[in-house]
Amino acid sequence: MRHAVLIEDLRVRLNGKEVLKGVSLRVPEGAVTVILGPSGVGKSTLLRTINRLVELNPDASVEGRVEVLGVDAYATDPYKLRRRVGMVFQIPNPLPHLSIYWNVALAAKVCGVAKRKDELNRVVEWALRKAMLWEEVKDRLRDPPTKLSGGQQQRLCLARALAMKPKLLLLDEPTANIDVENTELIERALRDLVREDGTTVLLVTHMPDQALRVGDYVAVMYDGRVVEFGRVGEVAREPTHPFTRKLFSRLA
Amino acid sequence: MSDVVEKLEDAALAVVAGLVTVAALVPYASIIVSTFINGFKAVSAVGLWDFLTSLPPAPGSGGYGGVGPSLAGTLMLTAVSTALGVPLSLLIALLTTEFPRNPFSKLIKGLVKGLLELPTIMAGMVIYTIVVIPMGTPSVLAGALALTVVMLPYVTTYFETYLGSVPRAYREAGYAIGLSRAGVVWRVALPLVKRGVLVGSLIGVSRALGETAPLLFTLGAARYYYPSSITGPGDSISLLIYNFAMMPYPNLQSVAWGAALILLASYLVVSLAIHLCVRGVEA
Amino acid sequence: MRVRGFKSRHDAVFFLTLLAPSTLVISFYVLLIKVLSEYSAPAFQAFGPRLITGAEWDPSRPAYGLLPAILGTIATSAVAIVIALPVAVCVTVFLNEFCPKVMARVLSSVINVMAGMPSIVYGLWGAMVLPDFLKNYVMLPLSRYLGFIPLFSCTPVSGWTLFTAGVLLAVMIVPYVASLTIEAYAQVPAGVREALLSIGARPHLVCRELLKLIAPAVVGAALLGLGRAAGETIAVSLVVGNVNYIPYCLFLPGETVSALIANNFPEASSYPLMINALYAAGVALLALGFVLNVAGLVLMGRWRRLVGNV
Repeated sequence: MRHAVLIEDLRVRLNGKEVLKGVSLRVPEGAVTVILGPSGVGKSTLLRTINRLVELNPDASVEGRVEVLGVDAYATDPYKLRRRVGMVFQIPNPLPHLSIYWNVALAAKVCGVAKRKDELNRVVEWALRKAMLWEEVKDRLRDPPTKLSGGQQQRLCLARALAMKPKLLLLDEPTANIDVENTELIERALRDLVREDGTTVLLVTHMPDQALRVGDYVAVMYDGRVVEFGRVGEVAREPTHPFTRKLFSRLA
Repeated sequence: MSDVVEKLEDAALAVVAGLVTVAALVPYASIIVSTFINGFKAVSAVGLWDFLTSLPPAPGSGGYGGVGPSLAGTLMLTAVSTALGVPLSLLIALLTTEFPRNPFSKLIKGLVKGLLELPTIMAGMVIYTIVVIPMGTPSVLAGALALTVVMLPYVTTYFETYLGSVPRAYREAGYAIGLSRAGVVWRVALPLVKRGVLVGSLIGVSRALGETAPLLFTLGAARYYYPSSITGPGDSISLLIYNFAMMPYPNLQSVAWGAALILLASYLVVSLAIHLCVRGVEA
Repeated sequence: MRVRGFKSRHDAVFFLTLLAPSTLVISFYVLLIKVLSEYSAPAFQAFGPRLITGAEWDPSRPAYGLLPAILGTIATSAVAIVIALPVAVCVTVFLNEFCPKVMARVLSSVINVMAGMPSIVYGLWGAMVLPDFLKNYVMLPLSRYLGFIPLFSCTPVSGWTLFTAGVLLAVMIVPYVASLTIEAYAQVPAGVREALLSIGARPHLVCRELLKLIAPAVVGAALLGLGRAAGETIAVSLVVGNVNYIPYCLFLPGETVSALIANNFPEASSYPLMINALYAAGVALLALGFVLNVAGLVLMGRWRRLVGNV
């Protein structure tokens, strides 16, 4: 089995504090891996280390081996790296000054997925369909994203990430701030992605039930480290680490 | 998108932005440098103490002189206008922060903000009409009143921001022990904002130092004798600079540079004081 | 919403104690309106619309027309903002995207200090240093090589021109406009920048999109800067040349409304109706500034709502 992301002994310091204390993780290709853990444990930081967004913090220091889609992430051009990795954030962040259409199309253009108008139209429709949003916005593509609800905006952000045709998709607690219906839609979209396009999905969440619904593999994080990894079903049935046990015991 | 083209675009943006920024700094450097150099020449021609105390030379006399009366005028103007303006600004700021939803309060807040847009020369025109004409003479008092009008919005806005930032917890503690609104302000909020009041006063001072237009018709430009009272005419450093800059006599222009140096130095000192006080508050 | 609802008598007394002195502001405005209307009315009555559209300034007849001064205010302010706005944007971009943190803080402080510097210091420098420099190194070359543009079509005789006034105004308002645009840029929510980076945008694209996002704020800042330039009196009157003819070219001396008032007010009582004409000029100045500032504030408000919605 190949790995989309290979992390070995990753240590990350933010603002003087050690957030990741030696994380090792191998993310299998073409499957949904869920990173599960309590708030503040470093899940977001781990995700941002993969697409080098952690560097936005001027006080960040990164040590260890991070290999993303076969290349050393920290030895390559960060912009080129980010164009191969899509990301959906916890709080929906559509670009407010662009239309719904251009929110998606810009991503495709930047990543070189499409250039001409007809190509862009096709990618935008494809991405919005994959994100389960097309039917709701197809008649108002020129509208600003502020006219959408929170859940719709998040699906728009998913479509934006998909328009990049990424081999790896990172999601940082994407459903934490949205309602049940939209959560369901997004989870369905993710499972279809893996099944139909073979995308690797890496999803961060603090909700064990989401891990069970969506995940193929799960990595449990505790105190800045990955303490358990395996197929979701197995880990949930026979957890080895006490924290994992606590997590899944609540779902009797 | 081609890789090289993109990297070039990044570089071009950085270079253009950087060059324009550097070019933009040149005039300001020139202002500071020329004021210091020319001002130093003027002050050292008579010595600092003499420059600060003696009278300016007569036009065409070719001699050197100082800015004594004008400096005294500036100090008097600053003192009077700050004494009038800072308490009034504080009261207005208290009104708008303690009773924010009251229609009077909202009206006054808007009017004060509107003063920011009033061309300063018009403040002078109004004070001229309602103070100078009835008094029959321009005066330090009239000038100070005009300066108060000009400084009011700046100082009031600062106080409003500052008072608004007193943490709710303190106020609620005050109400909890039974203080009335006035009591909370007097015993809880105000003692906390002593430093803010100091900064607000310094802001007022910095405004009073620098304004010229409000003084054009209200002050009188009496620069060859020391002002005897605030009801008589006076002069200010800024007004002196303005008048001497227009004169064709090099010795007067030189005095103007010296006065500008004094003004610039005072402004920088006050700005530094404000900066340090604000830093202290944040810490 | 209770209008007169106070928690107690104490509160009501407190309110009134604060209200009493604060009404001085209202009285000032009342006096302002009264003085302006009373004193300007005779001029409007005597000269009618010619007050605004006429070009003569002849105290002996008397005939007063504000058109050259109004055009001069518009011209100098326009030159100022045409120079100041791109500079402010470049400084914003440099400060936020390419500047090391330490330098950025120093630059920020410099901008703040320069924004509050007494305008007379700008004026003195403008009168002593600027005219010769601009005449020899900017205006003469411009009139020689770009003389086909109508505004540059004359050869400057002295350095005291509308162009010089415009440049001086630009120097004076750049710190103010820059501080507004820097604040707007910095207030863009972090999520927007992260979104742009996550799709692989390089710095020039991030910059372009962020500037597009804050465009209403930039225009608002430009209008506020214009308003400030239009009201500036002292520095301008020292360099604009103070010649009351309609300008057809920037490299000639001209006049602005505020400089007109400053120059003529002292002797105005000797001439019939001059003081009234000057008060009318004040009204014109207020009207101009009012329009510009309202437009600027509306735009800033619109931008704030756009950013606040995400």
